[in-house]
Amino acid sequence: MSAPSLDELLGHADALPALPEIVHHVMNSLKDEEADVDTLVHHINTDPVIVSRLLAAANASAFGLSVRVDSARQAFMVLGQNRVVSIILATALIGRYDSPTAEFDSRELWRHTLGVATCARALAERFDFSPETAFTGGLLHDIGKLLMRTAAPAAYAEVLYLQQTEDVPAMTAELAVFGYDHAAAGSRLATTWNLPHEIAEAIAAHHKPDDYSSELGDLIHVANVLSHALELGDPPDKRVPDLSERACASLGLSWPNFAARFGEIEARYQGIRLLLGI
Amino acid sequence: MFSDRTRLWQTGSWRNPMKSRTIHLPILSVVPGMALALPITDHAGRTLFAAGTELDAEMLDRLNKRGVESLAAQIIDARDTETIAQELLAAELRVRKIFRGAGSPARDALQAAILRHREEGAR
Repeated sequence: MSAPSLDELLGHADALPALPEIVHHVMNSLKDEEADVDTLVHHINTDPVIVSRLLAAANASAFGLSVRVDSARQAFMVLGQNRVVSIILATALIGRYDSPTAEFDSRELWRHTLGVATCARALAERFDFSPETAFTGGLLHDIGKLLMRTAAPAAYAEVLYLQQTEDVPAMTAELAVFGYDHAAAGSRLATTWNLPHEIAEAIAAHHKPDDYSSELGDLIHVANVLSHALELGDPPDKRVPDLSERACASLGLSWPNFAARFGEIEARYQGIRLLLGI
Repeated sequence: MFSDRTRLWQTGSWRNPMKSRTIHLPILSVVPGMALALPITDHAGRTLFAAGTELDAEMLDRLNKRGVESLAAQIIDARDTETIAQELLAAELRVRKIFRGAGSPARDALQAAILRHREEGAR
């Protein structure tokens, strides 16, 4: 059995549903300082799945006090921009790429990516990055795994077997079977989807940040390792990957200081899982 | 075990086994009547609610609308010292297991921070 080359794999990118328009709208409106809530609400209203998820989340947050929330605009007022954007991005991505099989549990992958996205947002708040760009980078950092599994399921089953039997990281097993890893595949897919260059580069860099010069890549790398260390959505006994000394220094990160936020990060992760129902 | 009991007796905790502990909760999981273990501040560092404040539904609604996603609450700790000791040991073994194999000094520093966090959570 032979695995597809990276170009052949990208040729199968249509095996995944296209990235929903709402993701582009959210990313553009976050970059645009002139964008207002009404514009974002207008785009949200074109996607009934997202509207219903927002309303469910807003009504779950009512503490038995507020009147019933029945519009996207009201949901914005109840939940605040951070949570609305998190719910939009996570619902848009998870809802469309959720297809668990016996060999590959995509829900597990999404729980992990939510963990990385939550860590990335907390790191971004501390180190003056855009929290929403960091959250999106965290959600998308493993999108290459989804493409490889969807376009070449038999070869990816071999990757999972190698990973389990040899206790090696995913990228080592992917290199052995495919000749490239999910970071390379994900970065190419992000470019195909016309996502911002800094996100495509951060996806490429998230396991080997020292080979790139990407500040967001450094942050997503650290967020990924932290998420594994806090066991946010990880399968049992997953080994914590190595951590780049340079990436930590480049962010100015001191673990004894940042550790004060670990409890808050764990609670925020549980909160977003509650809001999304996963 | 004996030394633990002696220390607890000396600090008075043994006579009052209903101690409290701090847990971080998503705001949706906070129940009215819970007390804050840590103060809640706004972006400018001003205190919105002091530690010890008992939260009612209206306060929780206000915090939620301000975008507060989580808070540190005080709960009663009904565990005995033996259970706490077992949880501390389990936490240490767990951290050692997931950090198996060699890594960079940065990874070692993260491991130390995670271990302290787990120990504080188990105490």
